[in-house]
Amino acid sequence: MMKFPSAKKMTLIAGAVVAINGFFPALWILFTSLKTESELMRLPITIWPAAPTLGNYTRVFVDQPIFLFMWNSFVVAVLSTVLCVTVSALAAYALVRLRIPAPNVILSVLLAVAMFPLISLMVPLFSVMRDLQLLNTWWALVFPYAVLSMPVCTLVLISFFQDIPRDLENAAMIDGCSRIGALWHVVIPLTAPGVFTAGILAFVNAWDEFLLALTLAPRVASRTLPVGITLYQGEFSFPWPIISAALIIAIVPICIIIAVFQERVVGGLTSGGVKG
Amino acid sequence: MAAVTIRKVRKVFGKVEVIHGVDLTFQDGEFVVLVGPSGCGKSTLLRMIAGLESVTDGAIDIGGVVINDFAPRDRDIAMVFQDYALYPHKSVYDNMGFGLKMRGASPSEIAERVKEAADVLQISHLLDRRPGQLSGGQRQRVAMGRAIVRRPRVFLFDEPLSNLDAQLRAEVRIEIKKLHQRFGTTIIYVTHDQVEAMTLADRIAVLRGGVLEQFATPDAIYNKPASKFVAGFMGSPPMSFARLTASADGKTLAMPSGTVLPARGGLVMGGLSGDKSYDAGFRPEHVKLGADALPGGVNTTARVEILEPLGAETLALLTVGGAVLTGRFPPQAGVKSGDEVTVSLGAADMHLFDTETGRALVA
Repeated sequence: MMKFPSAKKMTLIAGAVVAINGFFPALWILFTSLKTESELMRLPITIWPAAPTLGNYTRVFVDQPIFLFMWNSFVVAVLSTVLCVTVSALAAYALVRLRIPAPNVILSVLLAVAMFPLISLMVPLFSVMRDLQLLNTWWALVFPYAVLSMPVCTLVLISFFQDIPRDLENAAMIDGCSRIGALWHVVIPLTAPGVFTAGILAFVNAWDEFLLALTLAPRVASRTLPVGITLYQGEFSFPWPIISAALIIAIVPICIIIAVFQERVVGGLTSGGVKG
Repeated sequence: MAAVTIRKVRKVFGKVEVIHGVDLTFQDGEFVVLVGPSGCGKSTLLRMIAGLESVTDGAIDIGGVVINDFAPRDRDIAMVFQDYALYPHKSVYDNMGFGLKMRGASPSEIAERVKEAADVLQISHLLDRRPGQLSGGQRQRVAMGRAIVRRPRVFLFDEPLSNLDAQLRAEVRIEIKKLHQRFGTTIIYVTHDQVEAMTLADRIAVLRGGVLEQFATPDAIYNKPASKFVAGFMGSPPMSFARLTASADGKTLAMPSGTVLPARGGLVMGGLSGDKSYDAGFRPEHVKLGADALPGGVNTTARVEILEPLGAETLALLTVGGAVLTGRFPPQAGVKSGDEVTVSLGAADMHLFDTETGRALVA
């Protein structure tokens, strides 16, 4: 009789599949970035670089102002994340705590907005940004990125806020806080894992976004990394190793941010404040 | 310290009215307990005083100022919550000092006040810990400490002992009483536990369905209940009742079995209508084992249904003339379930209630 693997084994297998699916493309890009172009085109295909080189990384910095693109991406991502998390936190708090009419309808609309195809927003967004004279500025991307991430961030924060006992805020308000003060001093610190999760989502969305960045901020001075990377390709050439090296450089800040904040994204902070 | 006045306060949630025009006045420095069954509106009333619920109608006045529209932080009150509501991310010291910090107190003043409160509550050794590292009793002490460091005009307690075990509850109850004696601040305390109400209160407000049933001293609540509800709610074990019928001249009352009790003692004489039924209430101590066990008592036969030995005494559930009454028997009474015994009913201490309105007929 065939014996099914144990639950632990199944978990390990499933985990391995997910990990390989996630890491293999990244590893492939990393190996490609260390190969020469001729090695890349050679048959049979090699996985490990025969003669690893950092020359592609040098070319990344020489061929395009990648530090400028990174700086633009960083500023846009940080500003949109701060704006998104601030507004989402207030919205989530209002939906969870205030007696507002039809909160479920508002939540449904929020979800519907999150499903909106980005392409359908391009023309109106371009038109609005042009009228506001924000094209080719950081703000042309900051506002749309913040708004586009708001539904998912609000939903994430709602689930965290719902777990905070109401009496903690009541205690803070009796202790001298306003409602916003209670949110700042009590709710936000206690939902730090949720806030950081929402922040990381918003940051990664902004960092990775290409279509809006290409449309609303195409000039070099305001260009972000995803758009900047496309400039490495020529009309008749596609230098895979150099683009791979640029992609690795683009991934590094995200990895650092997630590694730094992962420690903060831990539960259990709320234990002990109330009975149980 | 301040007096608190509640004038014709109503509270409506959607279409449901949960407080129906309550009037109460708490004296400066008084310890008042709001008591009643679940859903009677006692916590809602407390939260309206705290500013955590709006007042639909009427006025709440603290120290002569109507505070209906004041934010909780502007009412100069402190509240101890049922679930402690300690800030889990702050140390005990920071929990206790948070209110002062929010009010702009200097670090040295915060340190001094927190230390003083911690000494009073014997939690000085816990100041560096987080709430998650404390036991239930310690958390409740910290919650009380957080309230007293602010030296507010009024303390509000919302069922603060209900999460503690029986022994700890008794200990913390004494702590609360000591705190009141020490600080003399007005305390409004909500509980559904009538033992807490009786032992702590200067005066007790009994609520039922959003209506004030009686507001009086514990002694008056116990000995002169204003209604059958109050009589049945306050007292452990509670008062038990029998349906009696007045004689044509209104001077005697008969049990279904025919046992006749004189309408006398504290009863309003001549107030009984002939041939009308009344609910008579007997405290367990007024149902004694043995003939003539109570001075002026009426002897009757009872069947012992259930005995509950408590050590110092035995509670006996009895069938007396068609009614079920609870009696307090001596510990070694020598009776067992199913026995027919003679009991003495304290007719002089009997309480009479109108069968329709439930209001007491006793002055």
